[in-house]
Amino acid sequence: MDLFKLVRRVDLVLALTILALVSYGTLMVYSATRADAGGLLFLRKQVIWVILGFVAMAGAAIFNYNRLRHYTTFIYLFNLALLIAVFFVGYSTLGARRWIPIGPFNFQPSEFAKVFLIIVLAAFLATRRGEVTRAIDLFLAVALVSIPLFLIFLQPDLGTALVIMMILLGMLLVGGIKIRHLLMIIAVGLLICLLVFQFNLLKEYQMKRLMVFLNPNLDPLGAGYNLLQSKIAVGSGQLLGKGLFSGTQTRLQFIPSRHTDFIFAVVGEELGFVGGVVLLILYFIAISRGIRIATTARDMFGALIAAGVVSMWLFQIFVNLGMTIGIMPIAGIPLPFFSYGGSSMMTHLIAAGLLLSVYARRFK
Amino acid sequence: MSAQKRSAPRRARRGEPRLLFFLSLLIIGLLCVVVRLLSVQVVEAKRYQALANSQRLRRVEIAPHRGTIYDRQGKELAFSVDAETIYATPYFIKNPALVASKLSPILELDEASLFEKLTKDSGFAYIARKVDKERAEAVRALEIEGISFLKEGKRCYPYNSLGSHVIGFVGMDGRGLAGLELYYDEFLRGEPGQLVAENDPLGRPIPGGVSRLTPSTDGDGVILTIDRDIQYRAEEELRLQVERFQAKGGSIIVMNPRTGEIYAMANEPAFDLNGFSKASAESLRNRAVTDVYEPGSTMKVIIASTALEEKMHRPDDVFHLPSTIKVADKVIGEAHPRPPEDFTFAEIVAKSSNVGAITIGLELGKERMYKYIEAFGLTKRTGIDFPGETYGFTPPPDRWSGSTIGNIPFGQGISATPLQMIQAFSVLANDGFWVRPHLLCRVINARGEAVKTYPEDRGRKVISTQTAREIRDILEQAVNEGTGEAARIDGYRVAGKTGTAQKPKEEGGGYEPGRHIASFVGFAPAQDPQLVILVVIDEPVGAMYGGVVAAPVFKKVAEFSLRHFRIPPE
Repeated sequence: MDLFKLVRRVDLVLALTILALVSYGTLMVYSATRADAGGLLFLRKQVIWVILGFVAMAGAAIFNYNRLRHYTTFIYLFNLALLIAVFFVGYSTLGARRWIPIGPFNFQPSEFAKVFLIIVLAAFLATRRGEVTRAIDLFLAVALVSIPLFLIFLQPDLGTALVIMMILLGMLLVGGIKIRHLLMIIAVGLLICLLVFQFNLLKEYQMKRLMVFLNPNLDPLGAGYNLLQSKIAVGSGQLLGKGLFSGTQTRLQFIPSRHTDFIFAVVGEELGFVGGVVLLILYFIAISRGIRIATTARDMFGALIAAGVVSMWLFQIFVNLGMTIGIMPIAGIPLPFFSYGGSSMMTHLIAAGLLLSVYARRFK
Repeated sequence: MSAQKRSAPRRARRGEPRLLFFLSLLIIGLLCVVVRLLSVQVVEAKRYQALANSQRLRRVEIAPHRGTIYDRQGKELAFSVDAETIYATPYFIKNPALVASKLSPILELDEASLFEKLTKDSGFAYIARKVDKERAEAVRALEIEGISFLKEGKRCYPYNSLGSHVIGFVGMDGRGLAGLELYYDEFLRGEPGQLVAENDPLGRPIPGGVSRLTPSTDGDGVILTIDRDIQYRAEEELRLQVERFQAKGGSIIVMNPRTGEIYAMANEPAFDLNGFSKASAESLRNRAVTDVYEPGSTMKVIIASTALEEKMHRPDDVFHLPSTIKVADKVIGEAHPRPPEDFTFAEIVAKSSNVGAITIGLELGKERMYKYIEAFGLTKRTGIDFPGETYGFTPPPDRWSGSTIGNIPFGQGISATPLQMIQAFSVLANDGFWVRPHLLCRVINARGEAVKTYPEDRGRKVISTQTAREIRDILEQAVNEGTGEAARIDGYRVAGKTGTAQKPKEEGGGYEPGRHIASFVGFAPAQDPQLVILVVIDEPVGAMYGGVVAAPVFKKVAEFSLRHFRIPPE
């Protein structure tokens, strides 16, 4: 397929939506960090990642996704190598060892692991021709994900681990799992959760976050602080917001992690309900395009890739927005295309690139 | 390729409807977020807006400038100067040991205690409160991160101990704690202003952030009836006499009997207003209004006034007095034993005869005696504008024992504060009118206009002008020929009465042997009294008579005051 033909077949709606999302997000990162001591440092870094990300997205779109099947073993092992490397060369902040420093940037393998696992899992499930009926296939699929998942758990990066589990569930669903099996998996998952609670395996801060979610006023200066502050910021934004660059709670740093996990609070404060709805519409377009790409994919492999990406976005977006406005417990999950952070930005742009690649090759 | 062809229809059967499940998840999720956003940003928006403001905006109180206290001549007795309080935000102190060593010599504070303050696990610690400008500037010049300054008024008393009990003092928070600083605090303190400033989460003000200033209103000035010079002289003479007789303490009051204005009020021991926190509790009391004593012979004057007012006797009536008199089970004699003798009514007072006073008292009877004691104001507070005034004890007539009527006429078994006692004598000096004593002349605002003036009061009639005049003549005789000769002043006619009382035992009945309270109360000029002065010396050693211990103080202070007010000699 020549490049000219490819450009004509590109999903312009998705591409432009992604561009709009990333522009919107970068503007908000700038607004959240402009008053900081670091000045424009955050914006500069983010712009570099966006540019690199778009190049990667274009590369992924041009690249025939079907050829990825030949590299699945390599991709899988490379992913494991990166995740293991974190334990040796990674550095830790806030009690978690998640990053590998490369020059001035920090590289987060767990973010990229999501895309790698989507590709590997799609290839595996595709060979089962859309019917994962045998227990052994189900077991293999779960096992395939479990090894990297375990490594991510150890970092610990609970948020990303949860995302990967949701990707697995979403892809199994589209991959043709029997509903009976799916329910069994969910049952086992719930059982594990129960055991975790029963034997106090959660770290204290995680337990606190859950308690605070159930009652935000429990500890307004401690564990409940983030939630309360983000709600104050969003609520005080009202219908039209306080205006771009005019968010008092943002500028005065009342919102914790305002340029990363809680960036939606900045949108809510400065651009109000209207700004939030605009963002939701953009996500709706992006995800519904993703679902459409899954249904129109030429083959099972492409459909499964799209399903994986859609699962990832759905889960991340709703958990992130939900925690910012207090309908989900706080989990460290960034907002796709929005939150400050290179690895996250790159991962989601590459995922979008994969969608574009699947769409462009929907016809034989 | 062919395998995919075959699988395609199957996927369409099972996978595609399941993708619709994703679509429904997407729509449900979006709806949830939109509904929640509506509730937070539209329905509850006002509440969150208020929360945002309350944590972002901090109200800083701006202390007003406390009003000045002046004496009657307009001399400043107490004023506030701008001082600075130095405080630290320990979280921001990078090298507490170094900072402590730098601050220690400037502030003259112990390095170890400074270090402790600087390392406190808190966002605020006072380093030094109300330091003078020079020291504050020296600290400011060091430009230490985490050290901040706060303007606070510091109270200064230019004459140190002068008028200490009357003026009182102010606490660290700028509120009056004692004396007139407390009593007139509502005028002196002013209204604090408010600065509403935008803050970051650590409570630091944002440079260039929104702020709204409501300026403070400075306190009003208070002009007292106290005269600095007379106050000074009164304190000096009292102190010298207390020292000379190694007394426990003493009080002196100088007042105008016509208006009730108090020119001076002093006590020993006194204290330094600029270091009140180091003063002993003993020295902080304004004994003139808080302590009671048995008035002794000065009480005879009240009894004599009653007898004259009731027209039972004339000043020249002659009494045949035995050397002792028996009342109930007690035999009472004179201070200086004498043979049975003839006394005029006037001589009973002038020569301070106990037997004579009791004789008159017995004639009066308890009901009439009590009525006048009450009328002279000895049974209740005078109502002076001063906090913590007390009043003495006079047993009501129905509780008098058989011997009470033999005690009260010469001032035993009855007590009064020095202020109550001088007040009773003021009535005699003021043609029989009781005028409320006071310390406030007027309150003035920043432009010097009177905000409040102490209301003039003609007073309450206690005895007739005629009686008052007759008593004044008798008291003049007491100074000229009687017990109060030490009070005589060249060129002026002086009236007065000495008092020597035994001190009652603190526990149980009876009196402490060898412990006395010597007093003298008098006025001048005798025929047109401008000044009443009371001197009380507590437990003098080596002498005990009011005529010896207290009268000389009266003489010196009265002499000075008469000249000070340019009252011409008669």
